[in-house]
Amino acid sequence: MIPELFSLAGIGLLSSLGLGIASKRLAVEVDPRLEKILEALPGANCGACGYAGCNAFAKAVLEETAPLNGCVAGGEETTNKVAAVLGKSVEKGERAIAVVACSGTRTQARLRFLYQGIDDCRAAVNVGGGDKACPYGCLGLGSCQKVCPFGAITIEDNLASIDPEKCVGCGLCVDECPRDVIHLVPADAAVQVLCSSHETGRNVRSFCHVGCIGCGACERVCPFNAVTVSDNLAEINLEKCVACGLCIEVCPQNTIQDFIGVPQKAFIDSAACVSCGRCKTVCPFNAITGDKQSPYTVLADKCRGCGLCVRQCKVDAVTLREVF
Amino acid sequence: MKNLILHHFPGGIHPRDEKALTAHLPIEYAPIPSRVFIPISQHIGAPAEPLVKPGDSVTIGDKIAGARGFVSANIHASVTGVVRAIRPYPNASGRKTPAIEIETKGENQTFTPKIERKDALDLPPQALIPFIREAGIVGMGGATFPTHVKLSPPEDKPIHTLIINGVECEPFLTADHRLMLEFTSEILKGVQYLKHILGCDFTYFAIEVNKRDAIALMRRASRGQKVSVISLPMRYPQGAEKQLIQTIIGRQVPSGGLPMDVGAVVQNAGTTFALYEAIRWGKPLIERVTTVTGKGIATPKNIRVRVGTPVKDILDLCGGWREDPGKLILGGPMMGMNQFDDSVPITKGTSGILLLPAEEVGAYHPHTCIRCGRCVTVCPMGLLPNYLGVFSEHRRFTDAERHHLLDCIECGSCTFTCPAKRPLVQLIRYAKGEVLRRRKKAAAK
Repeated sequence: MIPELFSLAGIGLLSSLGLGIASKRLAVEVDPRLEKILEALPGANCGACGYAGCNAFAKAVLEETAPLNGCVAGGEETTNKVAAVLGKSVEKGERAIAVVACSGTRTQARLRFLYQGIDDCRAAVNVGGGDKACPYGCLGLGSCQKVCPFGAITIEDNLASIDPEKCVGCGLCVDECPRDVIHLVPADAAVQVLCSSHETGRNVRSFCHVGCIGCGACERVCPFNAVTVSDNLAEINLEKCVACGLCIEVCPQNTIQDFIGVPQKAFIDSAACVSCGRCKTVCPFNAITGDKQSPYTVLADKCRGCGLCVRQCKVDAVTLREVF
Repeated sequence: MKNLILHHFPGGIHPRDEKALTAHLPIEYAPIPSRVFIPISQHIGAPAEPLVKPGDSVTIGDKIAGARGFVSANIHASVTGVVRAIRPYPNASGRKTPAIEIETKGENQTFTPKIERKDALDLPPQALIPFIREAGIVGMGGATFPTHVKLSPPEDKPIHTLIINGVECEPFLTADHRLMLEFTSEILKGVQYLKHILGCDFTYFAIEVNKRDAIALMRRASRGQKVSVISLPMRYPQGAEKQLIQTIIGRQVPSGGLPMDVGAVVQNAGTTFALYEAIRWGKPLIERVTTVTGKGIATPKNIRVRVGTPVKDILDLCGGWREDPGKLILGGPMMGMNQFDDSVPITKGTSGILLLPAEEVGAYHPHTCIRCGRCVTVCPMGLLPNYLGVFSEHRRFTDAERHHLLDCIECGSCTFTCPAKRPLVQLIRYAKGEVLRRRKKAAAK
């Protein structure tokens, strides 16, 4: 009994000694910051940063080969955390989301033949260029859905749609789409053209009820020159767009869609108003009435909440308020 | 004649050949279409560059688009007329590619040779290649690989075997069969030119046994010309280049390699005929023989048509659909391309127009793989289509590549034989596209 006990204890002692020495001698040095960065990252290993997973990205950040805000999935929060670990500061970036620029569902857009084959857009385009008659439209077989690591994409009625809440703007779906109908847009883009077709209006009408026909109504109506029609497709310059929504109303095909959210209207504080009239001059909708004797007022039915008057007012009497 | 032991490529299938519909019909000449649409990309390689502009008058045989680079081919006007537009036009792949639209005008619609090169065999071999290149000759079996490239092997790869491919293993098609019967001596003259260019002393002329008359005729006509006409047992895809080489000389083209790696060159019988016309008469590739067949067409025909003729014109000529339309296929039933639009033009590689009535076209619902292994048995490349299909489905493209995905010749034997009705060729083609896309992406980085 006793000798066994001693011999076992001896073996234990010897091996623990060996292990102890090995752990000191053969230790792989890991930057302690790596662990912390990894903790800060979402850990989805989506690869949207261009590296093979979060670990590789963290290493690249430490080696300063990757930018601090490289993790698109984590967004601003993660960037700040990573920056804090390294003791650096970052510039603020804009959040982008992916949008499917097509609204041709099975009922809206015609199919040109019966497709029987595997459910994948990239495979379907090899067969006669895809079954949707529109050569630019979403095929709705879900190649984008398969690559989205965040479950933000759903396919309904032959059309992909992206949940703006879940989308992190990693751009994997943009790469995957064989028809190039998915674009990255700023998350606050209020007005969007949901069509990618460069076909002539006549052709579009022959196969789709909701495609852009390049009629130019939006271009003509826009008071801010934010909409241009080139190559049969309307395009909105988001820097100029003030989300007044006029183009949405005139579009005969309902191609331009509203992402404005809660509408806003201008409101003039009569106490602060100095009756200078600058707001009235600038309003493109004639929504402001009054004269130089008394405070100006906003006609709520005409106001579109573009905010030009707010910017124009020198005494901060005009504000935008949400209307319910 | 040499004694020949036939080797066998692995696998293969035996679909019904259905050639009796058109095998007995002599080649007819199609009337000149009122308008032709000639795509600038009818071959493997870079698209040709248009040399004409709308409004130009062109005479038959004029070069209207020039080859861009070595692996590319010239394109010629197939009618006399006026260029109306160069615009995107539907082609057999279902996409729109730029095509030159010519409206036919004038009486002179037959090609009249300006030169006759009786002494072509006295010229140095290399001097013949520019004639082929100028005439825009491409492989007419369907792959449309520029012929001058095939005939200009690098110096370290000597060619010792020339094989003329008169196999025509695709069911339904009889264009090459009729060509061999009606233009026997012209084809054999083309063979002489090919032998001269490649410096081969001996040639194999492979024909499948279902064309007995062509075999007999070719044997008689080629006596004393050092051409061995080989009668091959029927098997699909025996007419595929790599399989034919393996059958005849018993060597496998290495993975990713070309026939010249085993010292062989294969030329289709139709290509050989076009090559004869190009060298002897300076005639560019402006027309080809195509088979209009299937149970869906009123009067099946073997017909010689101008490149760029819309399929619709030819269907009208043959009486149109006889029954409810099912499928319109350009090429053969195994490797041809299904069409949804009959305005697509005939190109240099259109070997047939196949019309299947609705009752012959089935809709299948693919099942999971039942692991019977039939596709493995029939694959002529010795691949594992079952695994390639599963890898593709699960987006495991690296694994697929490791299983020699890119060696697949897309012959369709696996899909033909699959009892679970899996779309194996489509899965493989999809995976190929993805693998190539990833490579391109990696190269760009």
